[in-house]
Amino acid sequence: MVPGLTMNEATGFLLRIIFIVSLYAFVVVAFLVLRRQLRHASLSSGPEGVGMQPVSSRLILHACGPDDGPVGRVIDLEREIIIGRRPPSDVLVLDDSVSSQHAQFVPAAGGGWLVRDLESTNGTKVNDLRIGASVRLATGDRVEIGAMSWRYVDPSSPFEGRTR
Amino acid sequence: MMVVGSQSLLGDVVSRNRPQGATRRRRWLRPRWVEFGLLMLGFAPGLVGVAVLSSVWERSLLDQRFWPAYGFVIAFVACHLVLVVAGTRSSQLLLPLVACLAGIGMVLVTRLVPALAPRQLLWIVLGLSVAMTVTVGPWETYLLARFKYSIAAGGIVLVALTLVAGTDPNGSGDRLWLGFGAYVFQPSELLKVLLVVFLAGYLVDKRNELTQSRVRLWVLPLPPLAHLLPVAAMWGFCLLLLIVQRDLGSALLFYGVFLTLLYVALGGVWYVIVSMGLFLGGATLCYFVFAHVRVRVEIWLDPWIDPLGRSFQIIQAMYSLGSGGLFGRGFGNGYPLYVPATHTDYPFVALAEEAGLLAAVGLLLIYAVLATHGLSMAIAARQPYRQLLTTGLVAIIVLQVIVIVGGNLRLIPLTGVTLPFVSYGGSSLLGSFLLVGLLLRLSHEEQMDQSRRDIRRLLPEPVVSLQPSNLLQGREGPGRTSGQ
Amino acid sequence: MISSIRKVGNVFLAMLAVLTALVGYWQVVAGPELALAPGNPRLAQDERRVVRGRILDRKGRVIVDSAPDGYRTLHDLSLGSVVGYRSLRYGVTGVERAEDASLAGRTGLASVANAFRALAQVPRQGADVYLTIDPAVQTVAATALGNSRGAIVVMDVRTGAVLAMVSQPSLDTRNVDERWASLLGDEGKPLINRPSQGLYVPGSTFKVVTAAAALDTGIMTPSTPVTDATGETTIDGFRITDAEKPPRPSFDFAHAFAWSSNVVFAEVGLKLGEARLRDYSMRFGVGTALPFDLDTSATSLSRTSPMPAPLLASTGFGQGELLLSPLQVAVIGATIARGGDVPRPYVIREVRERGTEVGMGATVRRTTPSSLGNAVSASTAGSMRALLGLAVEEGFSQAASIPGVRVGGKTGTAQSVPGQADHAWFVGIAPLDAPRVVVVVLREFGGWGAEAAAPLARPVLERALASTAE
Repeated sequence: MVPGLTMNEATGFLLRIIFIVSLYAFVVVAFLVLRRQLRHASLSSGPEGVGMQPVSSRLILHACGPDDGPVGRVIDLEREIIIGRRPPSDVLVLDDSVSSQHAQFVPAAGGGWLVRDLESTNGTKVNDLRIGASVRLATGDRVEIGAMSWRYVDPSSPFEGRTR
Repeated sequence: MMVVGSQSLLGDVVSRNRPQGATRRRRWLRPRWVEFGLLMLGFAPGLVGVAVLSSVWERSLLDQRFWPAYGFVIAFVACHLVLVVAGTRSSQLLLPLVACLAGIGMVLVTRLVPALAPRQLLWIVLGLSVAMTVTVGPWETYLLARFKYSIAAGGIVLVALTLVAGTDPNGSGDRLWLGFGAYVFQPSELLKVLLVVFLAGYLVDKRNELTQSRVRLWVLPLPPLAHLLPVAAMWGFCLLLLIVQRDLGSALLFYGVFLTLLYVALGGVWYVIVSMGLFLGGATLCYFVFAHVRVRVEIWLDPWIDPLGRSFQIIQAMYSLGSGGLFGRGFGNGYPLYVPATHTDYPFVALAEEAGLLAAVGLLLIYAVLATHGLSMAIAARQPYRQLLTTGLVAIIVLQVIVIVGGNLRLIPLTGVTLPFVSYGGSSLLGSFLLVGLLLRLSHEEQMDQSRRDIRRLLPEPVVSLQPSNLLQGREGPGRTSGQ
Repeated sequence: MISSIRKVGNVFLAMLAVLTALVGYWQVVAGPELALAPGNPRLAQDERRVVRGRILDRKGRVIVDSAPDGYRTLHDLSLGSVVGYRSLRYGVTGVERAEDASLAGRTGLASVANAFRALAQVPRQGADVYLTIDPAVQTVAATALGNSRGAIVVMDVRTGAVLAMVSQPSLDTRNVDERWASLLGDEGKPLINRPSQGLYVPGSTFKVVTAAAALDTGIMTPSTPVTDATGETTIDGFRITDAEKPPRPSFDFAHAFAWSSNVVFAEVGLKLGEARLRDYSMRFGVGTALPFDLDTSATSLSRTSPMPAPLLASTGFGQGELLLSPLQVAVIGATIARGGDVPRPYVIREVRERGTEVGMGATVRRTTPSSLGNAVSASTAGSMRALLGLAVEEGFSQAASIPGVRVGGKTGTAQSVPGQADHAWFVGIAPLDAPRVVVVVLREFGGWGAEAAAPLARPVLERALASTAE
């Protein structure tokens, strides 16, 4: 079968080759599966991908109850997020006056961000007004979720000139 | 921070507020064909390894020695079925990767110490049970963030127990084990998981405070000093491990994981550099103060000073490595047993000698795929906590590989860290499988959340309420167009 | 945070890449040196696991092979001292030593088969060594010698290949370690391979050299008349006698050879002189250790030089201080048979890799017959063949004659230890007109060459002629 090797030795050698081949076959297939997943993820992740905004809009916590803090906490708005007390919320808070999934921030069609109340028990307020569904945010807007008050900052639009 | 109300532990108190379509419904029997196919491929190296052994030892494939290796296949298939039946949506890549590694480990243990193979199987089965419980059990990972201080307390108790009542079952001189009757357990294997769970929760919480620098030390922005405490505590803890427990491997591993999480959470390279410097400083101090550290480092730098004494193991490992060649000598054909404690300390070298360079590189590639997959899971996660936890868990595996393989290859001094899923050792396997369970759970929850979001996205858009401010600014919401 | 995770991932992958490079370094760059480092215990283990090659005769009959546990088994006791023993304590001898590297697989790795073995890293497979020994001739020779101490060498004169080599008492190479003390103390000296290592006074067989030198130098021709009337003479007060007085007082040189007249050859020795005798002896290989696959002892014409006249005269008819090995005598006979060309004797025919069947493996090395030079002219050699034929037909060597074949030969009766019987010699070649084989028989303390040695040569010659006729 193989020159110079007895039957048993040849079988052993062949099996060792198969061992290596099977190991690499697995590695390659696993890698292909992984690559497919990575490609899939990068397509669906939106702003996480290549075209990341240079400076993102952000929410800054400027007032809150005892459970959530501290004041000054920042949420960078890089993709749509849900604020709530339970998963699948992206930003988890402990405040009991917050619903499981309370409010959602989604990119607006023409740039900027929308806030959307997810039919929360205690509602979401923008600039002290309870919103029905979605509202487009402007720099300096206050978004109240439970006891927390978040300030929306959009670096692309200047803060000055806004009066409230 | 307080945990308010136990209601949130029990389930959806607020689900009444949700649209009907978004209610959580468990779907049973979700096929996982990718996982199944990969599992079948992943079994191959282990089973072929058994065939090599059978040919070299001239024993039948049905020989009792090989039963544990077949048992391991059954165990993993059972796990796959559990995941299918439970309808989990976790990563389908993770289990096959682990199965391939465990299969190679199984062959190595069977080859090196056949008597220990049944125990290895037992630990794999126990580990898989833990992993499955964690994956399909009725709980959610954010609870870990809530109870992080309790978890930290548990870890401290574990360490204290080891310090006070540690035993040394195999006469290595280091009391790193806890005895339970006939069984011993190495707490550091559980501790590493607890550490990551705690640090992820803590760092996500304190991110903002830690990055807000108020004090400046020359160029270095210092966070509020109170928040530096955990960093110092961690540093002290690792040095304690090094000095009291003589566990250089665990110290390296813990500190590495800690640094990784610190860097990912805070983003600043300064923390990492300073912390690394602190550790190196501490380690250097240890070198000069403690004889056992010095011995280890000296035989690492120049093993030929005492080839028949203290550096016997290192020298034998080098001979073993050098004799492997490209294809190796074949399982059962080499002499890896000249290296003392191969099955725990030098499984990588045993593989390199008996299966050759190609297999050794293949093994590292599997870990590389595992690392890439784990970290891409972390990146895909939507919550910072999950991102951090996933990163930490992956870091444990990868750093462990780097520390032990690096030790085997004389990149760093040899340590007692195990090769995840491959080395023989009950505590190590349990710890590693617990970690796999957590990763599976995390990816499952992530997928569930994703699909729930998708459902919400498909619901009819609610009517836009026109707020005064909106009218004033003349802005428009997307609902106005899409809602019609 | 996401970009940080990406960076962490890159660092992790870079570290794994470093480890990969490092494994490559240890296994490929530093590997060969580590694998062969003297301290590496695998070296000894591998050596132990080498499947040592077999030793076979020219017909593919196994003489020595290894059991699976590495134990060497000798299948033909008469060849024990040829193949030799292999002991970790007492060393290696014979063919086992001559071809140790091949048998252990250390050399001969060039071919495909061993390349595969090296690649597969299975224990090395030693090559098989095929001897020139002809099993039939060997058996007949061993039977002919029986239990008498002595040696028989049969050589194919056309090549120098040894067809049979018997040393009695023979050496059982099994369990040498356990039996070492008794082997060493045995007065039969089984550890000595008599044909190549035993040194004996050649007696009248050396007259072949003296006669050849005399004919070649022209001192004598076959028809030169010589006288030996009394069967004895005195040289410088040293009395020289014939073993048997020739039947006639005057005869030619050819008959002096056939009747083995010591008196005539003493005079021839004196006429040749020391220088020419030494020169011709040397041409036949006397005075050195013959180049051979097995150990040979250095033969010698005379330790004393210059030789006084009595010693020179004694040397002329094969006594004096002469010491030759049976193999050397066979080479002398073969030289005459080959027309004056001295063959290099050899017993290792070829080295082959072990095939699935005998003779199937690829040839690693094959011995090409070679010559050690020219001793005498072709015409001298032709005359010598006639002299040898005459000796068988009319002289003392008649016992070696075979019906239908012309045989040439010379007996020898050499004085041994004082008070002991003489060593009996016979050297014969056949067929005389186109010689194929030479046979040398030596019986220690056997007495008369014509009675104790020549008759033994006959069946051996017959068998050897049959074997070489094919």
